[in-house]
Amino acid sequence: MVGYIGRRLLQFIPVLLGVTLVLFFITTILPGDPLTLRTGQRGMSAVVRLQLEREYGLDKPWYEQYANYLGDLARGDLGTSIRTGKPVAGILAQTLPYTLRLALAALLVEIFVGIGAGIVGAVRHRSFWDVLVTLSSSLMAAVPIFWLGLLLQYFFGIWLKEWTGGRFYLPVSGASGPQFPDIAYIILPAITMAAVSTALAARITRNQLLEVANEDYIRTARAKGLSPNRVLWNHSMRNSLVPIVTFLGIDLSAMLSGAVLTETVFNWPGIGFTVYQAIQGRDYPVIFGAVIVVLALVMAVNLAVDVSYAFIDPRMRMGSDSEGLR
Amino acid sequence: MRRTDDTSQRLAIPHPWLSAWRRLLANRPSVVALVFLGLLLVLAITADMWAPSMLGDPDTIDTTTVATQRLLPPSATHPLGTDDVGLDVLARLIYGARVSLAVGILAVAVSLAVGIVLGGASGYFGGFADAAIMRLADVFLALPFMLLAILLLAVVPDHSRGLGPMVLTIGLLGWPPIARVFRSSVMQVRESDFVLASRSFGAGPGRIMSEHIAPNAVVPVISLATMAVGGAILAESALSFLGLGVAWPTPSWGRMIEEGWPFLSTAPGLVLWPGLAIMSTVLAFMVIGDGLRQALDIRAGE
Repeated sequence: MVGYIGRRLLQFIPVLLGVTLVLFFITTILPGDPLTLRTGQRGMSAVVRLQLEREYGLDKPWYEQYANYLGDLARGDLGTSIRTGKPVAGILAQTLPYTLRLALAALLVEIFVGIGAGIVGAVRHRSFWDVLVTLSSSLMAAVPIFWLGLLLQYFFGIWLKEWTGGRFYLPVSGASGPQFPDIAYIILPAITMAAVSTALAARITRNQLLEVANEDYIRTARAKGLSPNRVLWNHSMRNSLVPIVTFLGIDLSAMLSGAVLTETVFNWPGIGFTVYQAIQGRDYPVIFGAVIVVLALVMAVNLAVDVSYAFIDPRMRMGSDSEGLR
Repeated sequence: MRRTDDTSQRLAIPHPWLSAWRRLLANRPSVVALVFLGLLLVLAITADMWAPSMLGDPDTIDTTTVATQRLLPPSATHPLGTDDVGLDVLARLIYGARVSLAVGILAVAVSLAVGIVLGGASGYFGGFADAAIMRLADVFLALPFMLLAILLLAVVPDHSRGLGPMVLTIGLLGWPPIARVFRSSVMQVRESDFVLASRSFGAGPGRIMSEHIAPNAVVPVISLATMAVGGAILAESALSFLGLGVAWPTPSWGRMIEEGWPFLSTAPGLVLWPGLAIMSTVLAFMVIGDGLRQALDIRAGE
């Protein structure tokens, strides 16, 4: 078990090196010059320019810049924003909690609505609800998430406000404000972020439960007189969990990387919105730092998912141990 | 290829591709999707012949009439109304289909080219090549697509924002799933008896790969690639929404949503219609991809 986790952590290093190198090359070869951008159209004298280049290390050869960057990274120093002059780590520390809060809210929506709908679909197989679950999961795979966010803004922020004469509606921008309790601001972004994966989670849960339903141990459990609820939770669900948890894990990482769209649409002050703004201003240290942080998070989530198998399914624990011994 | 045809005729067995096509046509959702995409393609290709005269120019702003022509509700002359600079929404939607379809299909062509070469090499040679290529695929898959695409497109200078950068970005990031599927498919076919037979007749690796393995191993890739076109269109719309797509005034569905966003309360159609266009087109490719998967599944039989 420990060996297994250790091995996964070691695998993380070459991937991270490869990724930082790729990102580093993309951002150094590119044409947009951050220094020109910072001064705008006014331009600057050659002396000031050289001084700034030296200050940010832009005059050194690429491998030295890369080595410096890696060294800083190892110390948790992500550089300073070229546009605002603030440390990137500080900016990310400020915005990351918002993204995590949003992703967590979205994950809750996904677990309760998605798995719930999947159970309903399987228990009431071929009913109206079942068809609804199956259809909506196919449909959601084709919906542009930012468009869905705007539709929700229209219905819950604009149409509902008019319809109820301004008495009831939901906020569509930002993370807090004077008119609403903070929790109200997260509702629409969380639903938007979760929508696609909720539909998929419902389908996976449904299909998995239906597949497990034909197993011998389910028949045995029924035959010995267990209540349908007990069979569902203790036998069917327990055995369906591995694919569901795998999906939730893959999905949380998709959510974290897809945060750019949701956060931009709702002006949610998280890391995705920060990336969007940084790209508009070619603020490479910020883009760089944010991508690395999100990437590390995604990898950590993947690792956590792998480890969680061991708790859900004892067979995997055996498998991973013997693999670790090899 | 001719040899196969002769044998099929003699034995009165339809060519496998033909029977797969028939199975696809028996699948009603796939037929609906095929008709929809066919219509869209014809409209997009012939747009220059009728759209400007019937609906209005899709991307030239008439400064003399913009004040009276902007944000018009749907009418006989403008079936879906006009946008904030007085351009016909339907005309822009039809021209936007050109960008979406072109990016979707070309990007997947790029993914296919890279994925088939790398996946084929990986599956055929195995060993070190296999390990190296698959680890590379892992690195690509570990990178969040959206962030990397944004990063790549953000460095494209404004004046060269055309189809090219978008196609290359989406295409080059999309190869790993195709390579993986083609690799495992090649590995499977590589072990079959007819490959062994051909090798025993003295055929070289190039000939075995191109004549025996590739045509058979490519089957599972076909449905995956069709669905990937839908995914690429979705990605294009998202990136265009963020302002990283084809430069204004060329209409693109994602860009149209971004432009209509400020008028959400007064003219929700500006956001609604392009979104529906994206959704139905992507859905059509996914439905056909799924239909192809079923039609090409040999185990499914006739």
